[in-house]
Order: sequence, then C-alpha cells, then structure tokens
Amino acid sequence: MAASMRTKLNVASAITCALGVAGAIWWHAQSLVAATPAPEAVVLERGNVAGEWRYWGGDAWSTRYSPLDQINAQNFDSLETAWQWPAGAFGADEYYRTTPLYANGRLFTVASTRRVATAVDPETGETLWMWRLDEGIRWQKAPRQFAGRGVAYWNEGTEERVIVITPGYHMASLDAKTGVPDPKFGRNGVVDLMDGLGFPLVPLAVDDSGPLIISDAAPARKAKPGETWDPVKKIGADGTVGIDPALGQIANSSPAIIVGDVIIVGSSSIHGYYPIRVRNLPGYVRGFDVKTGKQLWKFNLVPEPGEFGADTWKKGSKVGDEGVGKNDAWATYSADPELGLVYIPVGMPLMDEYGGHRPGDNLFGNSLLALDVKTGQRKWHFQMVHHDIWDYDTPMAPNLMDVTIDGRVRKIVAQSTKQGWLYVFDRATGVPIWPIEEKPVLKSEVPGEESAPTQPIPTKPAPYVQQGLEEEDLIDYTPAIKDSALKMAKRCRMGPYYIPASLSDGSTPSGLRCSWYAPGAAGGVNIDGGASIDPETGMLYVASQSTLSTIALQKDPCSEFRYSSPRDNCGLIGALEPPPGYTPPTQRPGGFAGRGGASQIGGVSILKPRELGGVTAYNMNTGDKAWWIPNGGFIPTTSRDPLFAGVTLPPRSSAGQAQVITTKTLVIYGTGRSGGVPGQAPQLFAVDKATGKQVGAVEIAAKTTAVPMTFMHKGRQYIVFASGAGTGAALTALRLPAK
Amino acid sequence: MSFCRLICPSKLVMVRTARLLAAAATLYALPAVLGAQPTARQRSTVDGVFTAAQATRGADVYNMLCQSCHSAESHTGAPFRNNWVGKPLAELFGYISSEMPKTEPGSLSPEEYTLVLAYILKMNGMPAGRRALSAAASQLDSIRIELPKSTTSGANVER
Repeated sequence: MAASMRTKLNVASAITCALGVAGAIWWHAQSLVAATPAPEAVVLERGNVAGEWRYWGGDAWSTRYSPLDQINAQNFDSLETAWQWPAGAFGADEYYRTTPLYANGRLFTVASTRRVATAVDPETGETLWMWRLDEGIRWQKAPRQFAGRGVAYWNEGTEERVIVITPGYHMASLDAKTGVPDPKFGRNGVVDLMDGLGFPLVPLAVDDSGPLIISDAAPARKAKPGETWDPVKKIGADGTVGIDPALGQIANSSPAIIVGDVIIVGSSSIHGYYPIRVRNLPGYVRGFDVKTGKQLWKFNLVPEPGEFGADTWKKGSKVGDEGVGKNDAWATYSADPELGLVYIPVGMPLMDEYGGHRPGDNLFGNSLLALDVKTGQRKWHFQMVHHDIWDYDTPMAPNLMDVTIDGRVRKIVAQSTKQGWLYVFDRATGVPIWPIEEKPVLKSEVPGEESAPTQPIPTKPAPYVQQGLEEEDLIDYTPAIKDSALKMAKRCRMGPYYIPASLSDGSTPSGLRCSWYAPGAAGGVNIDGGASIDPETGMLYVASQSTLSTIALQKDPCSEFRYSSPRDNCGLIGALEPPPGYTPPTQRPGGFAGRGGASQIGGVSILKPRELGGVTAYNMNTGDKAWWIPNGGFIPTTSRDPLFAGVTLPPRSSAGQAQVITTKTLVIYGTGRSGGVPGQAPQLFAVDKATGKQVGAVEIAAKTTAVPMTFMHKGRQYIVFASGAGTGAALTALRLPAK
Repeated sequence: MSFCRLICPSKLVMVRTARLLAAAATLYALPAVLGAQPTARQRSTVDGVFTAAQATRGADVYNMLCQSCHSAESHTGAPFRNNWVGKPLAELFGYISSEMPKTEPGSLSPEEYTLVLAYILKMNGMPAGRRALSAAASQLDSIRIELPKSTTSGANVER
C-alpha cells in the first residue's frame, strides 16, 4: 500500500490537530521544500507531521520512521556534529535514555535524575527553557530515579503543551513555548499521580538520607504525628504526602502518550530482582484530560476481585494480598488514533524468577493490552507469558503497521519482546495474524512453584534470538568439541524455551543447580532496543541481543519470599532480621554456576554462532525473515584451549542491543551502551533497507544510549541521539555540512 | 582489547590507556616474582591497590551499566562488611564478573570489571595508590578485603 494513500486515510481523524497549528505547518512547509517537493505531505501521518518527531516512537504508531531523505547513503559519511547539549550540566543521571521530540520548531527532552524538562533550539543546541519540580521524599525514594525516556507533546490552535511525568509520580503540563506550567491543568499545572488510585495520601518520612535500595530496601514510611524534618541529618518528615509506603512503591519511567485530548499514563514499580516484601502496589493505566488534568478513567493491571482476570490470581488479587504487586506497564505505548485504541505492553508480576506466592496466570502481566482511549475499557488483550518466572516484562511500545497478507490489507500490531518472539495481531480485534499455539513447557521443580503447563508460542515469525538450549544448539566442529559442549550443557537444565529456574543447592529431584536462561532478563529486546518499521514496504527491523546464561534460586534469609535470585538483603534498612546464627554463605554463588562464564569453553561459547540478535529484518507481509546483520560487526573468535587446536573458529556477532530508526532510504542505528565491536570507535551506522548492507558509518563521540530520532529544521535534516551517563550525559545533533 | 569499549571518548584516550596498561604490566613483573617468596607480606585493600584513575573510570562504567539497578547503598556499609570483609579480593571480582550485571552476567570485559571493582573499593573508603589493579587471579588472590579503620559506615560516595 502506498504511503500517500494511507496518509490521506489518516488525515480525516487527525486533521483537527494539524489545522490549528499554523506555525507547525509553516515550519514544516519550509523544511519540506528542501527535502521533497511533495506538497501533500503537509498533513498528519499517524499523528505526526511528516519530518517532525512528535512521539517517543516517532509517531503514534511507534514506527520510528521518518520520510526524510536529505541524509542518505551517498552523504551519510559526511555527517558532522551540529551541536552537543550537555544534559549532565543539569545534574548527574544514570545512563541517559531519552529520545527527544521535535515539534513545531523545538526539541523537547529531559535531563538528570530529577527529570528536568527542557526545550532546546534544534539549530544551535541552546536551552530555551527548563522546568523541574522539587519532590522531596517522593523523589528521594522513587524507584526510577533517572531522566527517563522523554516527554509527550500536544497542540490545538496556538496552544502547545509538553507533558512530563516526574520520578516522584507527578504529571506536569508545560507551555511548549515557555516551559511555564499551565494554570488550567491540575493544581498550578501539576497533577499528583499518587492521587486517584484509591489510596489515601499520607505525610511521608524517611529514616535515612539515601535512595531506595534494590529492590525495596530503605523505603520511606508514613510520618508520625507531629514529626518534623531534621535538615542536618536529612531525616524525618519533610511535608510531602504520598501513598503509604507500607503498601509499596509506584513511579514512572516512560513518557505518556497523547491521543486526541486524552493523556494515557502508566506506572513503574520497583525492580523485581531482590524484593524483600511479598506484596507491593500493582500497576495502573489511566486516562487524563489534556486540558484540565482531570482523571477520566483507570485500568487495573492487577484485576481487582470481581473484575475480568481476577481468577488468574488463585490466592487473591486485592492490593495487600500476599503475592500481589507490579504488573506495571513501564514501557512506552503506541496508539491508533483512528481506531481510538491505545496499546499497552504490560510488565510482569512481583519477583522476577519465583512466583510461588502468586499461583495462577497473573493477568494482565506480560500482556499486550488494547484499551479504548476515551473510556479505558479493555478492547482485547493477549497474555504472551503465563505466570512469568523469567523477568520477561513487555519492554517496548509495539509497532503498528498496515500490510498486505495473502492479498488482504491488514491493520496489524507487532509486539517485540524480551523472550525473543514477535507477537503479531489484528490490531482491531486482537486475533493473531499467524497462529500462536499453547505448547507444553517444562515444569518447575522448585518447591511451591506452580509453573504454567503451557506457554503461547508464535508459529510465525521465527524468533530473533536464541531460545533455550538443546543439543542441536551446541558447537560440534569435532566430536571431542561436541562431547565437551554437551557435558557442559548437561550441568544445567536444558530445553527448547521457558526453562524454569533450578535451586542453587541442587536439592530438587534432578539435582541440577542451574537452568539455562536464553533469552535472559535483559532480552531479546529490552527498552534499549526494539523495532522500527517502514510503512511503505511493510518491513520491520528488530534490534535485539542473543545471550545465554543460567538461572538459579535460593532462600534469602532476610526477605519474605520463599526463594529469590541468589543474594541476601541482610543488613539493609527494612530487611528482615536474619535467623539466629545465620552467616552469609562462604561459598558465593559463583564457580561453575557463575552465570557469565558458564557457557564457554576456553573462551568459546558452546552455542553455535547463528544469525540471531543484532538487527533482524522481517517482511511483515509474509512474516519471513529478510536479512540479518550483527550489531556493529563481527568479533574474531580465538582460543588457546587445545580442544580447538586446528579448528578455524567462526567469528561471533557483537553484543548489546542496537537502537534503530528508519528513514525514506535508510535503516540507521547506534550500537547501544554495551554493543559494537570492542576496540572500535563508537559509530552511527546506515544500512540499505532492502539488503542490510552497510552503506555508511560515522564516528560519534560516545555510544548511543537510547533510540535516536530525526527531523527537518529550517531546511536541514538532523539526527539527534543521547549518550553517556553520570554527568557525561549529552545529546548530540548531526547534520550534513552546509553547502 | 576492549578496555575502552564503553568509556573512552576518543582514540587518543585509548592509546593512552593502552600505554597505561603496558606500564602497569611492567610494574607488576617485579612484585609478582616477590609474591612467590613465602616471606612476602599479604596486601590488603587498605594498602592502595588501585589507582585513582581506575576508580574514576570505574565510576563511568558503573554509571553506565550498574547504577540502573544498584544505588551505592547496596554494596557499601553493612552489606559490604557482612559479605566481603576478610575475603580475598579475587572472590569479590569473581562474584561481580560471573554474576553481574544480573540481566547480562559476564557481559563486561575483564578490564571493565576491574575498573568497577576499583570504584566499589573507593566507595567503601579504600585509598587509591600508585599501582593499578589487575584482573590477574594471582594478584587478586593475594589481596585481602579490609576496611580502613577510619571508616565507620564504609560509604564514601559522591552523590
């Protein structure tokens, strides 16, 4: 289907937004004169003005596609740095994970652990305005204390707004021209997102001056009557209010998505790695009026008793029930403004690798959920992992596409996942495009764990990363090599996929102390990677990493869980007291079961090198793989182990998750913070969309740490990406040299 | 090798780093021989077993790859004391390099793990010294983890 046809189809629903913004259209018209002479491009496409980048994923469909072609294969290598914007000047951050927006002549982004919202001049990199909120204890004890992934943009007439969700879970509506909070929105421009969830807000206090410790140690608490703030020790009650921390923690890490006049906002929970408490707050998705900040609806991602899905929590689904918590939809979202649906990728329930406290499938954990934008009513959902015990949160906005399958134009949504499959549905109905079959999977041997007997396995497309570990996956260059690899493989539980964890003390019937873990907790796809599409051809490009590690559980004597990932929380504020006489194990969970080195012989992975991870292109008209490339290149494999004497070892593909966008003529990617070929300078790559062949590369000061974006400003196309961590966080803008 | 995989902004720095490593290797030739003698004193982490530059670069790696899960409080103070004091540094290195990052264990280079280790020691109040820390097991085995006497909380992190 031609892009122009679809463009016209989308105009009707979105035109109210576009027509009101003469400025936006003017800038756009100016810029397109230089890029393409097509006058009909001055319209909204998927909620975006062509040549702009108004959503985190480029447009409401999360295509991460731009029709610009000023930067192309012929000139990519001559890209120059236009400016660098020192995000670190606003304060330190974790790794800098923002993708800025470009709308109506301005860039909008976030910076620092305080999540300062800013506007930046796209031509010069000058800061135009900044805004931040002092959130006191709410910020100090926020589970997601970082700059986050960005902001959301809305306009109507001459009104333009930037919506930012803070680490302390407030939502602000700022004038996009000035950064001044909109007095008509919430209270002085700010909505307290802890309000409206059904819990009273109480005064908060802290007993220490540090942050929350993974996952939920050293929390805030409800203040005592009359408690005050000690400014020297930085403890006590500072006057902030919030949900009683005894119920758990709630925060935010991704921007909202705006559809029409509705802001759709989710939440982030604590990390599920090593929680102490076996109950926490569940995840929620809510709709708010963009003009007033009024809450319109709330969807419970852990269904309350009586709601659809509550029966998938066999021990109860009420907040405060043992085992209830999380199912937070922390990733970015996508929407179809025409269908009036928003697509919510949902995270997992409480505790990543053990779920004995929450028997049942645990809806809406690990689901793709389609909600009506106006009412919040569930239109459809599909749970991709039942009763998750692998940390397979759904990590990324799904990609919406219109493709032609078996001669029929289909409106589809494709969800890339940590677990390495694309799940593809009719986006109006939720019916799988290609059958997804419930297949029997291995049963957990861990006491108390009722693992799901089946998991849904897509028949198509084929996965993009290694799945589990079976004999046929092992290197077999010589019989001796095969024997050694098999011997090593058999030391942990093997299987085709969804292999449940083993107990590290080997006390289960099999006696195994570990299970193979592929993909691991970071995917597959994680928030660093994910897919971009080409709406003209129906191609989808997914960036992922293919890894192999092991997984094991043991008892943390200082947490409420029966089993946890190996670690103890003893000594942390809020942890349980260890049992009398407890001493930390003298033997660390390392040795063979050490997860990193457990899959290598003499530095060589026991996995056969395959075309997995990196960037995989799928033709979504057929569901077939079209091409594959590694993330930045190949790494030579050598070994001094005599086992490999005389064997020519094939190179391995580089690690990490690439960060992909698509333009009229190119797939462009950065290698991500842990990708690329060791020893090579950081680069931004351009590849041919049809073949994957590299057609350009440009050295950059530091590796990309988030998905790049591109836009046209005053006749010049820019590519902007985030990099760095700490006070080294920065945005870099590239453009072609002036003629 | 991949020393600069994540943290060096330019080739210039990479060359410098390579020289530094070469220099460190030369420095270590002598102590390694001495270490083989039975009378050699066992060193501890209060003796300046890493350089300030290593800890600084380790902070960069830590911020990029560790901090999204770990605030400093998870491996300073009581958790550090309870788990690591009295053990050889090789054990802490082994733990970090085989188990971390939890979501991608073993995914850093040995050099990056060494830098992170140096930063963790710094966070726990250990002094920097003139000798660079190396990932060599023989060296790490001979260094005992001790807290400096002046450190009560063990935490020494710039926030």
